[in-house]
Amino acid sequence: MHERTRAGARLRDVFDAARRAYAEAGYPDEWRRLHLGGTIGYQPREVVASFDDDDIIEPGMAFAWNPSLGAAKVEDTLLLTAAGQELVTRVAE
Amino acid sequence: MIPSAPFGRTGHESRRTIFGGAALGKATDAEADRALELVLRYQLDHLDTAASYGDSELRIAPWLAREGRDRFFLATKTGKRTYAEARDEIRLSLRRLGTDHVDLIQLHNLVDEGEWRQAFAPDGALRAAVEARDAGLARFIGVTGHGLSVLRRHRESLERFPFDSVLFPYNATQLADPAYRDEAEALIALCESRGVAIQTIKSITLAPWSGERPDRPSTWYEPLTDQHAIDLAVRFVLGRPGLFLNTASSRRSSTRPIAAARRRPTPRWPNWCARAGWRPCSRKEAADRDRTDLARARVSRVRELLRARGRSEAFLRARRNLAWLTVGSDARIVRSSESGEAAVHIGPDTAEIVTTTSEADRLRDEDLAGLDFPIVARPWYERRSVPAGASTDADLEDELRRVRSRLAPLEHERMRWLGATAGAAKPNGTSPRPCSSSRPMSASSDIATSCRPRRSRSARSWSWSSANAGGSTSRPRERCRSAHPQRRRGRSSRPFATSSE
Repeated sequence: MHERTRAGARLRDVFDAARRAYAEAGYPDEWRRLHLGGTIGYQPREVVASFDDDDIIEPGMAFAWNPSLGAAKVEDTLLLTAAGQELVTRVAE
Repeated sequence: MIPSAPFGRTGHESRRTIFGGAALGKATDAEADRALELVLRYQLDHLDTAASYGDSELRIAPWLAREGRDRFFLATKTGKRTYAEARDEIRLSLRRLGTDHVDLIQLHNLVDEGEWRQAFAPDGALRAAVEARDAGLARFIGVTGHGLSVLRRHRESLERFPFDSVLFPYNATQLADPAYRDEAEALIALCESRGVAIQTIKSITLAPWSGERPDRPSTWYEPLTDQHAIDLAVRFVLGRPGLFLNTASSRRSSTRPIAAARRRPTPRWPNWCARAGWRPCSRKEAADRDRTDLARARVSRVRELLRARGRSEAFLRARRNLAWLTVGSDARIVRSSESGEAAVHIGPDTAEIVTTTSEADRLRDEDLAGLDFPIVARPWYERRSVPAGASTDADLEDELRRVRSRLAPLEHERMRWLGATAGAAKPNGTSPRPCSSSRPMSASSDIATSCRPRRSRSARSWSWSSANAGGSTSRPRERCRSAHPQRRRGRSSRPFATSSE
């Protein structure tokens, strides 16, 4: 999903790509169980990506994609600037 | 090598030094080839010319055909203001450049009030530029300008049309003027928030021509000539991330910034700035100004939304909207409450913070310090009701959630800070770590038990889902929805740790 989060793409492109990935992995209906995330800003989610979401991804937006499988869920906060992607939730190693 | 940077939101990475084609205006083919040789030597990849730069386009054409059109981001300009003239000139530029499209078409020096109105009129030059873009003759549209009033004019232009780039004078001499500097900062902030590429000119200005102006100068100003001074001046521009430097119109002067751009910054730069009378504003001042500009722009955005619905007033109480509009204050007392202790009342010409007398002082001195919202305070026992006809948070939410998704650079900074601070946090003196288990877990309480933090430095990442871009007052731990480190896909399935580790 991070790979698809590019300026100029639509939110639904990311959503569609995630559904394809689920299907390829053998879990075609898993995405129905929980939304997959979307843009964040002044709410935990501003726009949750879904069907027909033609919102264009622009530099300046931040995203929290949260694909899950069963009880497991991953989620990072991704910032998209003119310079590219930045993962802001990174734990010091 | 001269570094590259994203040219605004175009998706193109340009070298931060852009070749200014004005230098080729009166050049012979041989002279032009020598100047363009520098483009290759320093691996520049962005050429900027204009229909009005004498023979510049004609000189570039054969060279471009030889070196390969697709290797360069090619920009030109039209100075015409009517639709028909601009349409013809854009096509003429393509023929002169020997190409089927340019990457950027710019409205040239669009500053004068009358010309500006004409260019934006239905039969104006902008329509020709948009048509050219739609027809594939140009990929992006920009606007350029000279003079002292260009900064304000560019902001007005950006309010009228989403230009992909701007171009204006930027140098220490002009920035020594506080008014010009403030305008420049406001324009840069606006451009950064919208992904508009920022091109600068006149980087090597010493001063306006004084007594010894040559008969036919090739620059509008007296340029610096000392190479060390040029180095400093170039560094002055390139020292600021996000700015591009377009080289000068004098053939001699044009080459020197290119060479200077490769050199390392010099420690004497601050002294030189001080001597030029240029004082960088403090971080606090800059932050307040950014915040004020953003807040104003956001109020304008709400007014646009209102106009589109045929309304003129909004009364917004939700903390998310208060925080977005004020770029960071949510006037919160109770976390579980959707609304804060203040509302923003936006009218056609006003934007006020409405609150109770008990909160007014605190809001003015803390949350809203540095902003220019008037505060209207009423005693708690007077009912606060939504003014008749005003749109509410709920009315505008579907549009506002999209607008709120576009964050400004200062909000990016806050996010980075929050992410880094949360990432370095050590709950109970330990570091977060990836959690994995070899047995099925059925409830989140299982995960909490299984994945108690241990003293480990192997963790990479965990969830920070409800990060709030606006918050400057809350502690980061409060913002982490989940205190549990979560497993990243594809990592080793090491058995989960026990508390004894």
